[in-house]
Amino acid sequence: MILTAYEAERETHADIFEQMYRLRARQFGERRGWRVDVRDGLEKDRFDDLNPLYVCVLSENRKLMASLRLLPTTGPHMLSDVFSEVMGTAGVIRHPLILESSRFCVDTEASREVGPEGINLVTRELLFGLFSTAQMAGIENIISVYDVFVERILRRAGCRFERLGPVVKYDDLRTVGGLFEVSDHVIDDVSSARPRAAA
Amino acid sequence: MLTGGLSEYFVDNRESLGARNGCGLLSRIAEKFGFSNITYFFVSGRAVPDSDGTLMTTYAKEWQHHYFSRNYEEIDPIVLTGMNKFLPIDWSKIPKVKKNTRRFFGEAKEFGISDQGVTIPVRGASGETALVSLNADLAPMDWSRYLRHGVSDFTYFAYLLHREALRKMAQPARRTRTHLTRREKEVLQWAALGKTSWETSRILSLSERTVEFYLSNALAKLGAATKAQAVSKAIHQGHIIADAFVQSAIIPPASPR
Repeated sequence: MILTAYEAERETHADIFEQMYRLRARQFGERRGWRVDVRDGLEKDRFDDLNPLYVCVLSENRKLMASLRLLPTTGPHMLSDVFSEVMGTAGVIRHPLILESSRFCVDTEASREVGPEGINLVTRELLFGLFSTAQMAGIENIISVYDVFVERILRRAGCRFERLGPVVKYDDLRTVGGLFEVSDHVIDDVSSARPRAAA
Repeated sequence: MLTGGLSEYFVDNRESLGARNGCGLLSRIAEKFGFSNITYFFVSGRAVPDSDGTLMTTYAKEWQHHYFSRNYEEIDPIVLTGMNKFLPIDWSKIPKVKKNTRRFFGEAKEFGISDQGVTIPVRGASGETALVSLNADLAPMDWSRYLRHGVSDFTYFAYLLHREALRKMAQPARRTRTHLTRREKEVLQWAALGKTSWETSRILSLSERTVEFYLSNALAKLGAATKAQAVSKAIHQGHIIADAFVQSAIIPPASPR
């Protein structure tokens, strides 16, 4: 099941948000070795204070399986404030129909089920949540910074995107900025292997 | 009733959006595009001091009086919901569980205000928030269809309206020159020469999608809704040169015989 909730709705979803900050601490702090701020096992940064919208995949018993964070590019966001080098010649993006996605993570220990193209089903579910939320709101593109190695996975999962700038190294991580298409095609492709029962 | 073109119409007419009498233009837009009312409300942020223009609305004076004399901005479910969100909020999806919410919509109805509407929160670069509300006297089914088709245009319009409101509030006479990247200028220059995105993509060895992306960024930066509007603004601000100049530079005019 997909849940979309703003940070301002934290009281209603306190249990989910805590699981999300914990998953982020494990994924980004421990597994991938990003330089992120972890306190009491929770990873949060200043962009979480800007009231982002979180897209989450939950299991039937409200266990968080995957999550990501959305911010409007018209306001402060990571690509304008932190990662502007990866944008190369594109410069800073401020567009009312472009959102920024960040902190994409999947609890790979909890979700081992793999569908066609070898893509984790929860990953597809999260991508479906992302693109369908954007589509419903009339959003045309998503921008995001990601590690180069996930490009292949995203492509196989049905995303359509291209690099916006050069590959930039942050702490030995090869990072790039991408422009993702939001369209019926993408939603069809991404959802073609979604677990029907969970829809 | 027109569908689409709201943003384009606004850009062509925005000069008549006065800080004090901004409602004239909003009323014309409402009539042309089938809305009952349009409201712009600057809710929070450091970008603007208290000044005229933080509220522009086409609502009847009676409702405005009723609203502000009772401090309804403190309980207005639309303001409370909109302040903390950034995607468009369809009024029909606002939970009507709380007594205050039900009373608010009930009273609005008594003043003849349709509850079929949308509020588009606009978040600005300084972290400020403004809300743009559009509502229409339509049956729920027709409204939801109109919203679904128009949501991108309405969102873009809300962004343009906020830009214009900020500009009016800050310094009425000031015209700031937009900063464009090299690529943005290039794609606009080729657009000015009548090239399609596909042709520009061949010329610059970029993908067509990338060309369109640069164009749409340039449009947003310039406050334009169409390629033609962006080209005209970019020429006006001196970012690119007009077609006629380029033509005459390349092809000298024929000498009189």
